[in-house]
Amino acid sequence: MKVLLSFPLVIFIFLALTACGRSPFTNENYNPSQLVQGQNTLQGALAFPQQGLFIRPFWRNGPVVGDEGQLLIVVSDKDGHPKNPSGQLSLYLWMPDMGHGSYPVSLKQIAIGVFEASEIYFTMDGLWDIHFQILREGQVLEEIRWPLTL
Amino acid sequence: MASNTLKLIFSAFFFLELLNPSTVFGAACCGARATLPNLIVGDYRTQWNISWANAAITHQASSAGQVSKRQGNNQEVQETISLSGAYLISDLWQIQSQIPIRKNSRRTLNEEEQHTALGDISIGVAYEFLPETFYSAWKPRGFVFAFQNFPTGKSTYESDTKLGTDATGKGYGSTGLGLALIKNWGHYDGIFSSEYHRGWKERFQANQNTFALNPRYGFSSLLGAGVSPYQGNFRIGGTLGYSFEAGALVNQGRAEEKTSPKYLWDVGLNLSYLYGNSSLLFGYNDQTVIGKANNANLARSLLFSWQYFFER
Repeated sequence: MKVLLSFPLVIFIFLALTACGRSPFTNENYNPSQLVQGQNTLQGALAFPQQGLFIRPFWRNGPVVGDEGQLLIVVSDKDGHPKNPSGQLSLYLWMPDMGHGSYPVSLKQIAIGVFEASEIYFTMDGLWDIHFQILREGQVLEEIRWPLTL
Repeated sequence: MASNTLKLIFSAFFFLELLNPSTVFGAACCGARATLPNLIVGDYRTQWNISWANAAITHQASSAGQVSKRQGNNQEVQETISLSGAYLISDLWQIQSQIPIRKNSRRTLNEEEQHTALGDISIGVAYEFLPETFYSAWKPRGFVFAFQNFPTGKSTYESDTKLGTDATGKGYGSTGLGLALIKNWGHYDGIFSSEYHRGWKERFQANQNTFALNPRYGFSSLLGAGVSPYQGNFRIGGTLGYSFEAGALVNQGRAEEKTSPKYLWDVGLNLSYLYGNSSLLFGYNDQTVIGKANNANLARSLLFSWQYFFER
């Protein structure tokens, strides 16, 4: 009886360790021209009305499914002068149709009003929202979303 | 020979249980949830089953119902190895459990990621409300069942890898009720199963974003038929399944949003062979054949399972 009970467990562990991660049904044809690219539909800038600031994002890489996207973000006042928000700029990805987000985006300030976002991973095709937030002490002061379809 | 037929039908039943999109085919975030029972229908007390399923996400359906093929730069394979068992506690009552281990693999142009972890464990109980006491040409055997899925696997809501391969579970528990009918006529057999479930509300913390998820409800139905040529030890079967998951309510602290509902169809073919107290099963399942789906990843899958029966 003990052998009969332990045999399935041994097989179970063996199979768990030998799963190969491949399938005969996947398309193995890697082709950079087939990357799922998003459309940059933003006209003009996104506004934080309470702070009187505008955000202009520029894709350095992407938006693309499954590979790293990088975004240059310029925050400016109504006259177009770069300006830091009065709070911490933050952004995250959200898929509203699915109800989930993605890997945390890294954000680095490189000049006054200029930020570089990296590690932007859209894990699947579909509608995504990039949420830009201004935070102070963990509280969201203002938030805007930028919808993208990939 | 009748006992053989029942065991082969049981194999088919187990196959159906393994075709459960939540445990095998759907992406952890996106597959519709369906749970079909792992029922003992033969004259035995206990059974064990070990199975291996390999599912490749080959297509995806948008929230507008458009189905598109995935490109080679976005490969996703989910392998699930499940250990499950069922035990007859009396002539009409039985209990069951399933422990899945899942390996998710993704390859994109510049990234490759794999993760293996425990999936969502489930337990269940079934009652045979229509036992086959006397022969009837039309009356099926009927079971009602209840199940409980536990969120033991990490979910896409808690994922902290770039391509989300560490998500091996749904992230929330669910409780369900269902009905299963089986009938065999000589060489032929038919199966119908349907279930309804409700997900438990859950809170998640992701980045600076805390949100509450109410998964609401879902249901699935499955129709299957098979034939054992010459009433031998082989059985060839086919299945047609449908899974629906209502749009979840997500509250990120501002306004409550509703996600798009998910549904998909799947078609399966399976071949099983009975030898002694064991049964081997090989199956193929395809969620792209019907071509009607919404807000879901669609997979083509291979399955192999071995089961062992203990007589009463």
